[in-house]
Amino acid sequence: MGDYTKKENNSKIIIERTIEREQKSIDMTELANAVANAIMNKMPTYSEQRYIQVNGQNVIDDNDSESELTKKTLEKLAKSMIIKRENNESNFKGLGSVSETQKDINETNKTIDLLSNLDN
Amino acid sequence: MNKDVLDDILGDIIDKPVSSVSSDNQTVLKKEIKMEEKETKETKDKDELLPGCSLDIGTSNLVFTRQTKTGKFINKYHRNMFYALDVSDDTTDLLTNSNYLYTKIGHKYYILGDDALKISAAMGGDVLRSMENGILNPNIKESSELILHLIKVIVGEPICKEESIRFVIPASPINSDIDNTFHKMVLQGFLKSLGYSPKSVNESSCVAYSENPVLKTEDGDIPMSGIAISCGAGQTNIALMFKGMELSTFSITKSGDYIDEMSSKATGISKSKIIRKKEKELDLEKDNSSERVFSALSIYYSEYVNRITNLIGKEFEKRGSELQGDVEIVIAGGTSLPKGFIKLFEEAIKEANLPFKIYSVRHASNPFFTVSNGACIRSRGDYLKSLKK
Repeated sequence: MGDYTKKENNSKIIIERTIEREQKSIDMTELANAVANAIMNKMPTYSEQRYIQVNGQNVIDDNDSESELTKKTLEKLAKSMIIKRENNESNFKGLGSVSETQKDINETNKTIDLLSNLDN
Repeated sequence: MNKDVLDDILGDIIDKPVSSVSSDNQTVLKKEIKMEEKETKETKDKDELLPGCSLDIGTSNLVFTRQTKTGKFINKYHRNMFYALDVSDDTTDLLTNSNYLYTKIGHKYYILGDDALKISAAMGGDVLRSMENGILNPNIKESSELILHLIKVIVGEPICKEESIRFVIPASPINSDIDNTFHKMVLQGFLKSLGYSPKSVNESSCVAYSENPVLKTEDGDIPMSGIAISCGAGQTNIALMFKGMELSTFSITKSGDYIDEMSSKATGISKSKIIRKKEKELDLEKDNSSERVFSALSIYYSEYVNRITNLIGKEFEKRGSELQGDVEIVIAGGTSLPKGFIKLFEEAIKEANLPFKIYSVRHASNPFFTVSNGACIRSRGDYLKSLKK
């Protein structure tokens, strides 16, 4: 959680928002990061992955059941981080530059059509 | 008609009711309003944003893309870096009197984006990245909060209920045990909380969706087939594609950021200054030996290109990858931007012993936005698929 402030000039409005952090003895973000790092250190490395044949190529087997429990734990961790963020509001309206790119619309539509028939 | 009534009508001619106007002028005004409404509608239809968007959360930049009905891609982007300052009276005054974009977390101010690069060049010290090697940087406590904050502002709200969005993730690297599962879950959950229907998409596959490499066979040309490479800041991502399907994907760490870091160490010049010189002036075709920054960058670029082409060749051979026909390689990404990069890559790939016959090495038309455009095209495919159900 944090404070978000924006500089005032003739056209901008200062919006100061202070979000009171509940005083806790444990920093939840630090705890979440520590647990995530501990879990990730335990996860199988590339060389430990199982391989299967797909379309004649060797690819990593993603259906390793041993990692299911790890994935569920990570899902919960990920969710806990997001709930915190929802309470933050942004004061950075208009952030980001904009640039346009152009492609041949017929070619793009052919590609979109092809991709719409894929399974994943 | 007095002036006040006229001002009322002309001030908001679309929305205001015409009942306040005298009956003599109602027909004329109604016609004018209808014409203006039609023009506004036509203009809106032309540039109408289509459902299905994308988010490329790179180590260096964050890009959000939408497509319009006329085929344009609107790319909104922001540098994904920040500069930390301790909170004090002096820094508070500095930021109050400047136009820097910043946020305050705990006892630190974090200046965001290009402003971070500017202030680090002026004050010294290096910029911090909320991402490292293509995923959330676990060494910075506030990295998740900062990046999610940026994402929320840049992405905004969906334009339809549960709008499909594809967010870009790197493949697993072959030279490191980095895993992107947690990174993927955080982003998936966060985008869902914003009202989107998110799916991840491989970074280098997006290059293929955008640039359409073509496989030349005896039976004819096969689209969306070949090798697609995204040279990012954190990782270099590679995909072998066939008719839009991923046959093989992997990544290699030590990419653009590595070049900057090593050049900085070799020259003693800050990374932010190195980045600025690299992006604005570097020409890899020239003899850069007389200028130490360009000399260092040239050396590390050569090392990078030789290393990745070598690893690509070995990895495809290890996986038993093959494609029947002459293969095209398409390259995109910020690290590929310097002049002369493609020529350097072409020369190196000849020595790499790939298990394919390469007939072309092509640079993407807009290397900086290719990945995000490709992900948007994929997302548009998702939307079209949902309509077919």
